Amino acid sequence: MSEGPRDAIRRGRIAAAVVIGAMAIPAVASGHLERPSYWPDPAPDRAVSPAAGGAVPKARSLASAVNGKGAGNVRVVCKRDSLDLALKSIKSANKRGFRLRPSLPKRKISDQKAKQLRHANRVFARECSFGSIQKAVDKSRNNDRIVIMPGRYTEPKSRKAPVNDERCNPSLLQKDQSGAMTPSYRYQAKCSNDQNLIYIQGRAVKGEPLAEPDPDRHGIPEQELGRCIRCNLQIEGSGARPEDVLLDAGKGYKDAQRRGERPGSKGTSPEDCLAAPDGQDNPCYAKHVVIRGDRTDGFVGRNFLLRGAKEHGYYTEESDGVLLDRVKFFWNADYGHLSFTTDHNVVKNCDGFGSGDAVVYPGAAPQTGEFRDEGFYKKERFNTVIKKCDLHGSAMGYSGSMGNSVRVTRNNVYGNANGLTSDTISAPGHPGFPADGQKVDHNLFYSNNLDIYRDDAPFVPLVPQAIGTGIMWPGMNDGEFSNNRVFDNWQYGTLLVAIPDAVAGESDGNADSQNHCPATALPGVPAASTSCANRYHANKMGAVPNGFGPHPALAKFGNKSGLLDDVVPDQLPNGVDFWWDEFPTSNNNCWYNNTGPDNTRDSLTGDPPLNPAGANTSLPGFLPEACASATGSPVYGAKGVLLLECFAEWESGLAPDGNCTWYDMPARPGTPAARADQAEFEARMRDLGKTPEAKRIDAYMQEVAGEVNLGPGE
Amino acid sequence: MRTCKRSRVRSIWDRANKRHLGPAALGLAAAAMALAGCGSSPSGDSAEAEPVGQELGGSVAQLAQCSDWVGATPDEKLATIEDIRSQVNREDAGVTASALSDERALEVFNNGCAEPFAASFRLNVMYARAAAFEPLRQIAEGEAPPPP
Repeated sequence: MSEGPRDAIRRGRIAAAVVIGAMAIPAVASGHLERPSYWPDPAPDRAVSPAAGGAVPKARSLASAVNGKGAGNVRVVCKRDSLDLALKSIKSANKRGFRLRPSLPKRKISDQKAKQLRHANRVFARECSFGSIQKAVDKSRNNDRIVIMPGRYTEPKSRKAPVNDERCNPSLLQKDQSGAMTPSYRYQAKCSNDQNLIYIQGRAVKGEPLAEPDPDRHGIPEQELGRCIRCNLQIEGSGARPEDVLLDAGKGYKDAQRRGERPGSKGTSPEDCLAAPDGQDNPCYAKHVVIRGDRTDGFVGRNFLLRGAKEHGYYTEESDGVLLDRVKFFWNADYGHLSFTTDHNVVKNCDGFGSGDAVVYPGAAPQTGEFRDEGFYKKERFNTVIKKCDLHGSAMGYSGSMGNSVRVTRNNVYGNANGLTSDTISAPGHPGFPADGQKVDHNLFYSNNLDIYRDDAPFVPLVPQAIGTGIMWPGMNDGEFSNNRVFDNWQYGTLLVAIPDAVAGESDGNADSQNHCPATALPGVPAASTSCANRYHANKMGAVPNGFGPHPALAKFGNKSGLLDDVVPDQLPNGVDFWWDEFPTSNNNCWYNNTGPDNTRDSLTGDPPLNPAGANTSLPGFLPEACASATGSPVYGAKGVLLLECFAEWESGLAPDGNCTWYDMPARPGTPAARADQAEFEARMRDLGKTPEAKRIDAYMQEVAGEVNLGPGE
Repeated sequence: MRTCKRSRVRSIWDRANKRHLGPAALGLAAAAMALAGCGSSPSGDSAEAEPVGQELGGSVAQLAQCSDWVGATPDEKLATIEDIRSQVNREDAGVTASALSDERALEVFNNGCAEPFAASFRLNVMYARAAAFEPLRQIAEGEAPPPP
């Protein structure tokens, strides 16, 4: 009996579910390792007045720090020349203007604003009583605020604190059930400058961590949740521009005052910088983190630049209520910003570059989406928002493992190897499996063509990424990618792949109780769990917005961009607009109402291709456009082998240099070189489909499908 | 999946160290090791070996990178794998995860770190990505158990 398309689809679905069940091995992963970490109680802490957390905090105006109105004390930190620097910067901002972000036009501050800023800084200069930010933090309590006047702050005392301090290591390391050692909260509180240039302890140390971490990560365990001691703290720069106040964990600069200078630029290569051991003799880095805020509910950071960390610029964990506004992240070797298990979290008007992983990373974000614990999170909501930022000049602009219910909106993401990745490659240690509910809307993803793997790479790439990619979702569920402009990304506009895993055992708080992938009716077989129900719609692909042109930082580090042509074209196609792996159980993914370079559906490109039957349908072997009926493909073998190679550095041996093109600089779309590369790639994929490995994958699924009793009515 | 800690016979080690090791050879190696009961280490004193890479807070897992890996001794490599595995494959989070066997991790790190651009790749990231696709690899290599 011949098999119709519907049967084929059904077989593919069932087969893959069984395959995954047979694997019976769930997700793994990580880009970031941390102590067993819990999502904070999202309710406001009313033991503090005003209450801490429960919402994104509102920034208090700089003027209110001058007149002293409102709750809390004000502490001013300054350098000897801070007032001069402030006045000079204010004058420049008033007369010549400045760009808050490279993609924005220069704007001048008004005469009135300049006058206010001059007055404020004169008052701050009179009241300044701290030379060290850490000292001001240590003196601060709930509701207090710290104003930092213009200057470069290196925190000499913090720099002298030893890494792996014997006062805390190993006695305050926390052991998890696997025996892995991580610094506990008490470790960070006691040896606060071991890893961090500036450490903010939000809550008191109360008791010991649980002997065995609670697998349910909803709420910091009562026995270790101390009272607020520095909740609702606000730290802000008093300059006209964020760059006026520089918090610097780096050293070895040719010119330390130049804000864009790389640590170690005086004569140490980026590789040698990272390889050098910690300590006073390190030629480039004094500390791993510039600011760490631990359990800092209600924290506001505004108007400063964080530079030169060996790992992260800003790092917060287990905090409820964080606002970063007008904050810049330059040359932080791992992440510019890293928030972990943090709620009511907003980063806006930011700018960053020079990260070997990503400029911003909201990881293990709370599960506040459709399948949340409704007893803990009453309403479905986004818990983290990244908006109005320039994310550029890094391996990735944005990354986040288990970035549940994060909204990314109105950003400019350019000049990276890969603009954005949010993945489910982290289950243990990253609460919230699987990642779901991310919304990416109204952003511009363009010219992410930075070759970070070339010999003279400008920074050290710490992670494997596909050069020339707008966005990648490895293992996202229920994601929405809408109303974005995606153009001039030479390998992929967007890429969606499944992480072939499954939840084993009972989900108990860390993992979602349900997920968006189809459950299988087979007893004992867990559900496939990643890459389902993602929607791409209303995006304009390959078309340059009217009036859009080159801007500073676009060509930073030698990034390639069609916007740098003598005449900016109307169309700058992506290598392929939509690439999908077609994993068999990846159901309900759909791409609809999008347009290509000529503003029509017909000019969109896809792998698999768009179906020739027209819009709003889902046919096997084509890019689905009708969400409800969209299914994966039973023929996944070739792409499966390719992804094994790309993700797992596993070589099939078919081609001398492998088949994965992620780490090669792609040719510009539309050129003869790009056409030749595409033809070669298609030929390789055909050959890959004939390999024993691909055949085994497909045969395995087919064999399983043949043994499945589909039951009455199937 | 069976994993052995800091213990391997040299012949298997040597074979796993070679790039482009074929699936069949790897399978044989794995089987041989299983039969060998995860015997002695390459030098016989792996219990003394320390993991390579910069330690931070009691573990090298966060910062160990390819440049550390390529200069490591066989025993140090096994110790490094064990440290990374203990951090990535945590058992405290309600979700379990596939662990890479020593020989599989050796292959991943040896292959990946041989790339000239990978000197600073974080080993924990490479491990996690490979582990995420390990079930699929086993099917592709014919190592997966038969379908139910």
